Amino acid sequence: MTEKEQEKWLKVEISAGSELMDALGNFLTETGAQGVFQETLEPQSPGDFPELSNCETIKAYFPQDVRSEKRIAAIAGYLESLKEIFPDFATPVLKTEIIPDPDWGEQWKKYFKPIRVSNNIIVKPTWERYTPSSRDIVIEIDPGMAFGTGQHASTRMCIEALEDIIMQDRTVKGWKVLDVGCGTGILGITAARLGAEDVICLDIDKKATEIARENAAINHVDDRITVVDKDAMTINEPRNLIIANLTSKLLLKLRQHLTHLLLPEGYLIISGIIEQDARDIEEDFWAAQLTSSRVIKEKEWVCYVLKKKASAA
Amino acid sequence: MAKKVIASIKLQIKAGKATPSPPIGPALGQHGVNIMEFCKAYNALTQKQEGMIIPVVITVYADRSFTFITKTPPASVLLKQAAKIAKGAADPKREKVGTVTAKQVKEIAELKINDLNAVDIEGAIKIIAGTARSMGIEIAS
Repeated sequence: MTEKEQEKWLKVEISAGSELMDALGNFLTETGAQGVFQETLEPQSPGDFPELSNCETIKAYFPQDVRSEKRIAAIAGYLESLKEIFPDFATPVLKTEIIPDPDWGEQWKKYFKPIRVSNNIIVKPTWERYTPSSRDIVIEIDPGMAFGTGQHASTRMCIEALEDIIMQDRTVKGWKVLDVGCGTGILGITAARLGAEDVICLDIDKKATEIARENAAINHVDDRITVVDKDAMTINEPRNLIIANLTSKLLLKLRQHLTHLLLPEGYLIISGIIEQDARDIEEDFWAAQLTSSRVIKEKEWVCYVLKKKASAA
Repeated sequence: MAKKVIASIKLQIKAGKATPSPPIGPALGQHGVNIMEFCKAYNALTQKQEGMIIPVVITVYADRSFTFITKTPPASVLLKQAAKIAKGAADPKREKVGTVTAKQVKEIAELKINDLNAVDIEGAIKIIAGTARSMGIEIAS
């Protein structure tokens, strides 16, 4: 397990007329919240009808620190002022609570189950059991708070592409892989489990690289994987397989450098692209040195496999 | 068969900058939504509007899968832009921090009408004007 976040949070809840929600959201954000939210729970049995009222509740979280008292006073003062402006509205109600030990990253894990992501590859959380059949390659992941559980289309398509390239292209003797924005390390680990001999996983998020290192050890491939918390621009080792599951904005920014790192006839897998950005990506990436070798689509997500030309320097 | 909905969550967060920390973590975590998966999808969709607050409504199903749609920026943000101010008033009853024209209020109402609980444009204008008053922004007649 990764270290749990120890910081405390101040939770603020305001119930008030729905007309005030927009301004309240603004005030809470200006007071230092990173955002606000409202939730509506659906009645789960026919008897559970929600109370009909014009009241809504808006919630915000602030880091619990020396500024907390001042923040609460400012919010209370603001609500007083609103009460004077709109005497006819329901009186806003303010509730505050200190959350000592947040575990909001944990609950969804109940719903993370082993899944088959491609022909032979199964991704399973470390805490679940799975009995593999003879050809299955089982990748174990403890995601912590990093991206990459194999449940997302962008990750699944990368795994499919990886399996296809490494299993099919037998002309290549040693795969030297770079996984850009590795998150949990799932893609780099999959490459190593498929037989890649030298894998670099990188992420600028230190929490992610710690998790990736742990996952590499869990899958017994830590002897072939180097995890670094660096920017992709600082990498100079030539590679014959690069995987970048990022955003299209970052992909466009890194295109030149990644193409430069790629050896002739090497593969570049790019993912994390939503359909609306596909044209920008195609215009930029289908450049002189790269040819499109495969396009994979799932829902609104697109993944490209590109190959560097043999003659390219 | 349609999937059973268990909750819908409206989040106001910065475009392209979603992370698992609050408010996203607590808002989604308690409903069993894969937080990182949501962050990835939201950031990919809103990366071009980075800096703006883009509200999003997330529908959570019984199997913990989810869908979401993004909305227009909050009226308060649009009002601040129109009034060319950085912040609303802390005491809007006594403090006036800026002015917008009735025309600007109408434009914001037109942009926001689908996201508001209003039957017609007059109703939408009233809601936006109320938000302006709650922020210490005056409407020039």
